Amino acid sequence: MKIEKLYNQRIKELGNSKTHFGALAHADVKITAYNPMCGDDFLLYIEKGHENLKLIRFEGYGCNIAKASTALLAKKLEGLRVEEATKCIQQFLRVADQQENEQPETIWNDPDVLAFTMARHFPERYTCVTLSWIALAKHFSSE
Amino acid sequence: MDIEKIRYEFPIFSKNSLKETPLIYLDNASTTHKPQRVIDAITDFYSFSYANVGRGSYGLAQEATKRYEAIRLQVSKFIKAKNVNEIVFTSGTTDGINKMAQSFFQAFAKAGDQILISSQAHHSNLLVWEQWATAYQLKVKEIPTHSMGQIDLKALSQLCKNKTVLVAIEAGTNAFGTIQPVSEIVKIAHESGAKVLIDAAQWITYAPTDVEIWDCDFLVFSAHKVFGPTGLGVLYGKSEWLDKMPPMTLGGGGVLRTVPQTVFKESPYKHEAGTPHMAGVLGLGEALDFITDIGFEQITSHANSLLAYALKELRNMEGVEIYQHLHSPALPIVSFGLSGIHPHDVAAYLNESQICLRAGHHCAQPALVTEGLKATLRASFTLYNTKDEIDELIKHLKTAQKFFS
Repeated sequence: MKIEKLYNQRIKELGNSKTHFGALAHADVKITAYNPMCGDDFLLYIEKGHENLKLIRFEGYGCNIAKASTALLAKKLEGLRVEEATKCIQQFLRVADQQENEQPETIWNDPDVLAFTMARHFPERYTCVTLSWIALAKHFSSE
Repeated sequence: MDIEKIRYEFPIFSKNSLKETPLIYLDNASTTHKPQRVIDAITDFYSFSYANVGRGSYGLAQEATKRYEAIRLQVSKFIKAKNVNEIVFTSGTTDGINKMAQSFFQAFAKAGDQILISSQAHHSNLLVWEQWATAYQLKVKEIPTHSMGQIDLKALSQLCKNKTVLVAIEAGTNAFGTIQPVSEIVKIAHESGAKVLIDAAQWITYAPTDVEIWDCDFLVFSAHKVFGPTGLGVLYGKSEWLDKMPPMTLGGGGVLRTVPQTVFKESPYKHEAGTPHMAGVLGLGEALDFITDIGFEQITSHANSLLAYALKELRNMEGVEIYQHLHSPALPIVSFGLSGIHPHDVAAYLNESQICLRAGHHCAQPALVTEGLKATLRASFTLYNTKDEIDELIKHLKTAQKFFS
């Protein structure tokens, strides 16, 4: 599997975009997503609405894959309720998981999400792909 | 130096040489590959000569003990220790520092004493001191370094004015490759009554080590960074200190008797309780022979020439930031970055072409943070690397720049 498949156009665009990048002055929650192996370090900001995750932003430093997946997290989970976001996180982790037997399209049929299917062929980058998603899942389960 | 002949001795390179994309291994600061003779020494011991050392009186055990102790002598000569009893086998550099620290504290440290470490310390030579300082009511202070360079000797002198029990520094740093002025550091430390621990993990494979000239009190290194096996290391300590220190490990083998009361063996045996990594020790002996057969004159010269070539080629590239002090002597280690591209992405890209390069903070996070860095790419060279490999690296770095642009 060639690396171009992993660093596909959608991932590169997401990784280089400024979408949802930045701090939230009135964040209710700040969550750190840190990878000790490479030093990638993101801070997720969540401003809660009445029943949902009203705004999600992030700041930090990380590789293109980790940055793209964090941007995707903010993009996809913003506006959802915690239960819905938790379900999406589980779906995303399955899309990227090499051990998963189900076709990614049947798990979450979204072109941006499916761009990360390639992680199934690069299991050494699973941590980069899932860094922020797992950090957020841990936060939800500890709430 | 016939590099091709040397490479042929390493199965990982000789087996890979006919492949379309041969392996280019440039992560030698992390660990080095093993020549066949080292692997053979280990398997031969397990296959034909295996028995525990320092215990049995039967022939096989006696022979194993004799060979094991012969390597201790060989190691002592390799680092120019005054006597063989100054060599303690450990499981690695980290283990050596950990073992030495607690025993050292018990023997020599008093509440309020100070330990000085480098601001470019590897985590192995940082966490031990940081974590145990509280328990022993000691203070740990960082000696400032010139940007990505050597320890500031004036600052060291100043810091040593406070009661300093130990100065623990790296002979060469793993993050930026700086070679420290060990003799000067030891002299300053000794003038204030402090003892000195040298972490020679990066240095040991670069140039000859002479603990007598350095006059350091302790020195540690790992076998796996010197073409030997993993899980083995060496702690050198001056006899006068090792003898006064309580056993670093407690258990069988380190003791003369336990009835009617416990009597420990002399150094270094009292510090080596438990069955040691005997096969590893024999592997280390073979690895040191391998180095000695080539000779440091050639090894150091080759390393310097690879470093100079890599620096020249990297400087000729656009969009490269090199993290190195211009005027400090350096190990064959280059830390660098490609502007706007995360080191991890570059390393992943290079991996496609079988080029192994480390990306990250290299277990020296404070050193990087001090310089305003989060992560770097690090290429580190040793005797089996070639200028052709550096050319390949540069070629792929250039295509990586295009790929990620």
